[in-house]
Amino acid sequence: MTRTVNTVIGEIPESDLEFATLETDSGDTLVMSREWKYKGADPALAEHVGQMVRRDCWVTMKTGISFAGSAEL
Amino acid sequence: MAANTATVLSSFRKELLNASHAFGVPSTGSGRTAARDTFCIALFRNSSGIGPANTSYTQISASEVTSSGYTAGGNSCATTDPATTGGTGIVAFWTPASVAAWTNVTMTGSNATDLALLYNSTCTAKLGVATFALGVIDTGQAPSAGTFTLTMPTNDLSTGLIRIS
Repeated sequence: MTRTVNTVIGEIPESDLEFATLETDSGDTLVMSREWKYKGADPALAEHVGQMVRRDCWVTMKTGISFAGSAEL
Repeated sequence: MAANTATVLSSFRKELLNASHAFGVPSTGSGRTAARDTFCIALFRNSSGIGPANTSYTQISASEVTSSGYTAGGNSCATTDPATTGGTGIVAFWTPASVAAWTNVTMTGSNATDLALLYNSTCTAKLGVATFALGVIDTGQAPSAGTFTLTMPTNDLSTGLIRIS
């Protein structure tokens, strides 16, 4: 059974999508994203070929906050 | 608009002394109901000017992100009990085990987020605890019809989400 992925253009077979990941280290957090682009051959979706149709994002908090080190009024 | 600030809210320091929060189950004989409060994490838009002077979720809810797949008020944290380390420089710390991911959300453009608020959703005032910077979620990384997952730090004396030393 073909797995589908929810996107801005509807449920698309995963095989019709390609993805790239991007990672940004902001010090206290690590942000990772996965961007999906359409690469299928459905004529009805031809205008979307190469377009970003979904992006997932993970934020990993590397450290929380300490009373001693937080900003004051 | 002013930038958001990651901070322990000033009001939380006072409310802690007022016993307004129960992160774990209060000790027998404390006079408190033996039940922990529910804490939630809500997401807020970039540059909403949120900082230490803010006091509650309710006060800043107008700046919360909006999206299909995201319910106002955010998601609740999985419960865990506070812990302490012994010896010199005792530190108390608390980190929720997890926060449920938001699925099929779009937080781009003017709806992009860079701040999370931890607040007490059991109390009617929705008292705030602290705000956390989410880092650089620029236009190339913001969720679009996708899943947004927030992973908690390691629950220990040096990285716990809330630490009191």
